[in-house]
Amino acid sequence: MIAPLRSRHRRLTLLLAVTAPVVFVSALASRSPVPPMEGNELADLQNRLTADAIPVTTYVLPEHLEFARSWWPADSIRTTGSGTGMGMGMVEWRWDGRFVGLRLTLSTSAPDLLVYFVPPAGTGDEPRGGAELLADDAVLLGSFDGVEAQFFELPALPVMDGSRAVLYSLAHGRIVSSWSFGGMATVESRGD
Amino acid sequence: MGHSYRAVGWNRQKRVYDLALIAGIVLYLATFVGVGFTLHPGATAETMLIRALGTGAFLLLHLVLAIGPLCRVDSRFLPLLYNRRHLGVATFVLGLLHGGFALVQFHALGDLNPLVSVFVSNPRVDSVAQFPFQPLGVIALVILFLMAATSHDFWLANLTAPVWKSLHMLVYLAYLLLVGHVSLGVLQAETSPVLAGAVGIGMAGLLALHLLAGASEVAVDRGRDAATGAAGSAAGHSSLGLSSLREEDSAFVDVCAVSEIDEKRARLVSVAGDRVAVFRYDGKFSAVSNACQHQNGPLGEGCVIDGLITCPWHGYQYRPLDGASPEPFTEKVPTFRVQIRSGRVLIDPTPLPAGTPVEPALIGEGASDG
Repeated sequence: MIAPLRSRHRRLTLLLAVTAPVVFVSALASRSPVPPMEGNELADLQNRLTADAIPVTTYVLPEHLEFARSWWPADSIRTTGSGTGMGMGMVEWRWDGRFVGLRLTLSTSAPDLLVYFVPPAGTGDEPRGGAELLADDAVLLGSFDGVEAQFFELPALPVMDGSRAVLYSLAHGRIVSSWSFGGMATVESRGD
Repeated sequence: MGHSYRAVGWNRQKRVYDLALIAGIVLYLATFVGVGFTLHPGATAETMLIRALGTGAFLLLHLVLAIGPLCRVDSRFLPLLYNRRHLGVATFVLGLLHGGFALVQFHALGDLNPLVSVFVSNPRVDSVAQFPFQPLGVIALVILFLMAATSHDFWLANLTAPVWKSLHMLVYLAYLLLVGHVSLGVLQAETSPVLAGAVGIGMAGLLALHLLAGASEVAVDRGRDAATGAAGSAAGHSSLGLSSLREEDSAFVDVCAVSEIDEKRARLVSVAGDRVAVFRYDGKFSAVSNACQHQNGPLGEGCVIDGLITCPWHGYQYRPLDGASPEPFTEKVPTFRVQIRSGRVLIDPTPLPAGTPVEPALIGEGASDG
């Protein structure tokens, strides 16, 4: 009758009772260290991140803090640029050869922002895919979820003059900010 | 009972159940989004929806998994079990919406097919903190789809209850995958302890409930088996195993005293790992397998209604005399021979083929047997 079924159910339940807590605890234990939320360190960091900015709700993910602490205020940044677009205020881009960083200095009203790396166009002056459209060979770096500073690792492609990083609004279906690698502070912006 | 195909056999209880379910889901999503935007005004609507749907599905899965052990611990939860499959389908739908939004948000505009991107965009399987958690959610969603798609009685009847139940035990794997999906995903970036605490408490509560119910079931089995052995002694046999009793051609084993079974109710006895339900009704005793043919529900926890044994889970009914459902239904369960000796109820633990008629034992008979 159903004795084997009950026995299997019992074994599965016991297995779950062992494995689920192990997965849960292991995942929590391996989290990146979270700086204390109280104290001046985080406040100072956030002040630096939002310096010269109109105050907005500051939300910094823990994995960004390590980058931000050592990277954003540093002097080793090769180039920076900024632009405005689509009611989202100032977008500041930074690049150190491996990571590209974005910082919003005004709150955004554009939802679902995605960051892409666009390889250089072969010929012609027109940006690949048109001024506001995404090129077919654009590489998704990640989503920009509204934090003041966020960093994206660049793909293992040679970054050459003409390569661009773009901020793409999924909701609007168009590029809202674009920045070229190679030149100093070469900025393009797409306003409404 | 299903003798023909019907998409859903709606009745008042199912309508009330589903209305309450939909209202609860809408209320939860609205509350989550409202509170979420209050606490995180910078978040986008899509992000908030993804989180609301994901937490809603995970919460609902906890409820689905808790209903079974809750019913074992306290029969007052049985009404929740009646339409549990609709809860499961709702869980899948919420999970599908969560996955769909997440796929569009994070993978739709990359170089790869989004479904491929989910599996290959993050290759860091060697890191716990950076582990690709999204594929875990996709696999869990596939399992939930499989369960939702086969939840109808059509599949139950065609696959047979044991196969169907085995298939649906995959829900435990889905739950484990979702614990990993949440723990290795959102909890890695969450600085507030609230979400981690809620997940931990939910998981601990659910597992404790299952272990508690399982322990009580083991205790019941051991108690019944012990009673069976003791009954063998009372009936003139030593506490030998059942096989020994059969060898002596005196297979009947004791269940309990006649007075211990309430009218229209049953007493369970465990024989060789399986359970038999011995019912008392209208001065008679009949025994059938405890497993309902529908979903292997516990017939012995049901009662006799209109002269028919009625499963407490979904109301499937069987005649006590032959274990067969009344016309036009075709379900049948194995039956067992019953005797009354010296005011005690005994059964032959050898099951007869499903639907085999057996003369019920009468309370008055065997009163003078020793």
